[in-house]
Amino acid sequence: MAIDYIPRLQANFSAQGFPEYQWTSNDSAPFTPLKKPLSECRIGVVSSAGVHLAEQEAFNPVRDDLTFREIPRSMTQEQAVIHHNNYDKTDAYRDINCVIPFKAFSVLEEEGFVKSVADPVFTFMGRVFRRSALRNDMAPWVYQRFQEMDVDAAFLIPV
Amino acid sequence: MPTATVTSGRDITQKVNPPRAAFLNYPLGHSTGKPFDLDDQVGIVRASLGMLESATAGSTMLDLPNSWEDIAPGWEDRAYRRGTPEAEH
Repeated sequence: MAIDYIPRLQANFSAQGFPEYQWTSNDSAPFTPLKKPLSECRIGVVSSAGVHLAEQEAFNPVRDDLTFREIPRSMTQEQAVIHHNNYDKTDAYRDINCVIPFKAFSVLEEEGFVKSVADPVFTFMGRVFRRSALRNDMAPWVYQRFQEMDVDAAFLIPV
Repeated sequence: MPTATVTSGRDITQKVNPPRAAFLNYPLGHSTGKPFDLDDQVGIVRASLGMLESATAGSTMLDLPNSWEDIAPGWEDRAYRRGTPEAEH
């Protein structure tokens, strides 16, 4: 039974004095088929977990940070820093694979399920309320980076 | 570009309406699996990425069978209520 997040979030927003949140609601979902078998595809990864390396600039953990960090797939658990105030980070700080599955990517590459997972992966802090900036700036930016990296399909990991 | 996503917020994702989404009924902060459980993590990523090939139209949602009940029975009743740490920010 899935959790009803929308009414629970609305209750929390209202309790903090915020106006009713205007949820994005899309009537259609444009479908782009794969051009070749998955086993021949290079996968680009985007995570909204707010993960970055210690030496990278921290995310604004509250809202509307419109920037990405490029995270090498070799990132160790000890290198992982998380700036994101809206989920329980306890387990991600124990095993970062809970939010960015580096180990699973390697397994699926080795067995040939996918051709490769692009390195680096891209992270941002997911609480972006500026919808136009997300659509017009952030998404095209990461799409361009994926084009440069010869990515065939994207794996999106909201947290 | 083709996309696949894995989500733990089913109602929110239904509104966003992406082309391909796998729903994982875990608490937020575990989008790609249980800590230190590589089989769980691989299974989730395999199922999610597999939708790139298996889905034939947009708005495809796959409900994954994975359960968090072995870790925290009844967790759904407590998740994201007022007063829980992850809901206070």
